[in-house]
Amino acid sequence: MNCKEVKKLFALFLENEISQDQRAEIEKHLKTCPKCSQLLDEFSQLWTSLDQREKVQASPNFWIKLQQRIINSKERKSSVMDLVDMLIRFALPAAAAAALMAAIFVGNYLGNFSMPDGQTLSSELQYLTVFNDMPAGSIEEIYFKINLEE
Amino acid sequence: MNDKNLIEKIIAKDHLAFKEFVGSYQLLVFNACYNLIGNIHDAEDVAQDVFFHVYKSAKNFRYESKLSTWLYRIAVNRSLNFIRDRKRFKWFKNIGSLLDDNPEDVTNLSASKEDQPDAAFENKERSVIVKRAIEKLPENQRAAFVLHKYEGLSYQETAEIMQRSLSSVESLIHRAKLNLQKNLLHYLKKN
Repeated sequence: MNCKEVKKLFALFLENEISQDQRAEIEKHLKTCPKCSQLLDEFSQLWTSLDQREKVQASPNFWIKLQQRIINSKERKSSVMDLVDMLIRFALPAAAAAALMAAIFVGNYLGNFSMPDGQTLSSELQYLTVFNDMPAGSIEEIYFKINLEE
Repeated sequence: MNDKNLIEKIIAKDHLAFKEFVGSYQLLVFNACYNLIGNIHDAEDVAQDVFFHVYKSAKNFRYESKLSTWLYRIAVNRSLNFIRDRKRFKWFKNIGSLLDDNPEDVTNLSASKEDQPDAAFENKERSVIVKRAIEKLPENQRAAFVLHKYEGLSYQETAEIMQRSLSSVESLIHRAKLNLQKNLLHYLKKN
């Protein structure tokens, strides 16, 4: 093994995750290469620092902060619910009443729509006594009359 | 009280049960977040997020895995999301610094002295170097490495938390070690 190959296996060498043959080759190289041997010493100090992690404690007011957050979220939620409630109680009936008023107004306006001869549509409708959907002289009218005579 | 009873009580918004739950799992969640994020204040905020999520969504726990597995999963996801957001923030801050003509070292955002619980160690510098090397790992490698190395979880447990296969986790941890080696050797070469 040369220096480059040995360096690539430093971590696995320290973690004992290499084969016996590889370990023997690395150890052989280290005996004859002071540079790699020194680098492994320095690297080993850093690598073992990886294991030195202490458990950390959260701040003493962790629970209080969490509690406050839950309360705030409930207040926010309830204010949204209040808004929805108000909408259901007042805004929707008001909108329905406004729509009804608009419908009455539009209906009234259309009912009194002025016809070209000065009459209104509602008065014109009074003269429409019979609505005959069978045109005069049509097959349907003749058949209808025959049936009536019988 | 066992985990099932505890979760049922949390679903029913039992305040005392939730307090007991937070007390039992606070250390686990907070340390997982800290080991992933690397900053004690940010880790606390994310840990709060994790418990808040549990309070709101306890009904989503399916009892198919251990409660700790579910909690670790939420902690890992929230922490990785936080890291992604922080990266974006750093990028914008970096651009802002360039525009302001007042450059600031954004790489030190999470490495101020007060953020170092490792300060008690004899060689603080080494701990900081190692911590930064871990922060440079791609997020999945970092998550797998932290869960296995610092949380002391087996490959199988890590795989369950990350919802990956066992071989995938083994590969992630192996690559994490090689990347850490590369970063640390690079540091030694420079210094």
